[in-house]
Amino acid sequence: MNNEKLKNKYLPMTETAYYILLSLNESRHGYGIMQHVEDITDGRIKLGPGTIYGTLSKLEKDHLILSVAEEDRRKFYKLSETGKELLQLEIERLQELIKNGNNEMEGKQ
Amino acid sequence: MNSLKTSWFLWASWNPEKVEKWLEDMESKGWTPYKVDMLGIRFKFRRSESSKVRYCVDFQQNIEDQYIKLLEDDGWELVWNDDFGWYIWKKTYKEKRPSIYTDATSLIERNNRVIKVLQPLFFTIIAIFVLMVIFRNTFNSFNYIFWVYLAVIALYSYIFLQTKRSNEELKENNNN
Repeated sequence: MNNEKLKNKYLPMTETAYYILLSLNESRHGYGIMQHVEDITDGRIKLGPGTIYGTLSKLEKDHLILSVAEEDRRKFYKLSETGKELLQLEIERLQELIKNGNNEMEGKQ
Repeated sequence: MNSLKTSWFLWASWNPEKVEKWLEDMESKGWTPYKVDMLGIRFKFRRSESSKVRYCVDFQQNIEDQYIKLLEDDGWELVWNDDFGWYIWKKTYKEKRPSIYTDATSLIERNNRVIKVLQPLFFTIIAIFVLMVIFRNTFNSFNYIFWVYLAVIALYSYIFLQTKRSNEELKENNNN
């Protein structure tokens, strides 16, 4: 597994990829991901099914997620170890953004 | 009053948004398509209630089983698809106009899939054209074939290059 290549390709992450990966910390199918993302963002992000389908295919091809089951033409996925690592790196990057944002803006208003 | 009508709408790979818009307008005027044929450019409509319907064109080859299911789960209805890989989906909505693609990247990738299919034939017809020019003296009926072929090349090149151009525009906008 070429981690550097994947890092270049996926980091920084798009909101779409970030929330899809995040949802797959638990096993879910495409429509389940759509509902979950809408739910945890209070309806702010409603991912289209074409976007979900394309992104899932891409993430699976890069082995960031694994297909774990198929029921009634619904395919379930879960994060792979590589996917987890990548997501963790992105969370750290986002935390740095927030930390620096808060530090710089504090007391300067 | 007539409750059925047939309309033609010429659309191609570089501007599927046009046929989407047109179908959405027809729905708002109270016409809903019940049959699409002739390579996706002839539409038979019947009278219906005026409604807000979103139409989306997709291009997919070798789809997984989950593709259709995923769109149906989200309330989309398949209006038409062909062997080539075109899909027309529709969904009735109330407030926010939905889309099957909610990010620019996925839309660019859809267009890339179309380009990948069009590309080999583009290079092939150009190569044949070059051969025709080189060996023009060996054909008796060269004149006639030549002009027909030239027309075909011109049309195909136009479609291909327009598709590429519109996708390049999308990419540029996405990078800004």
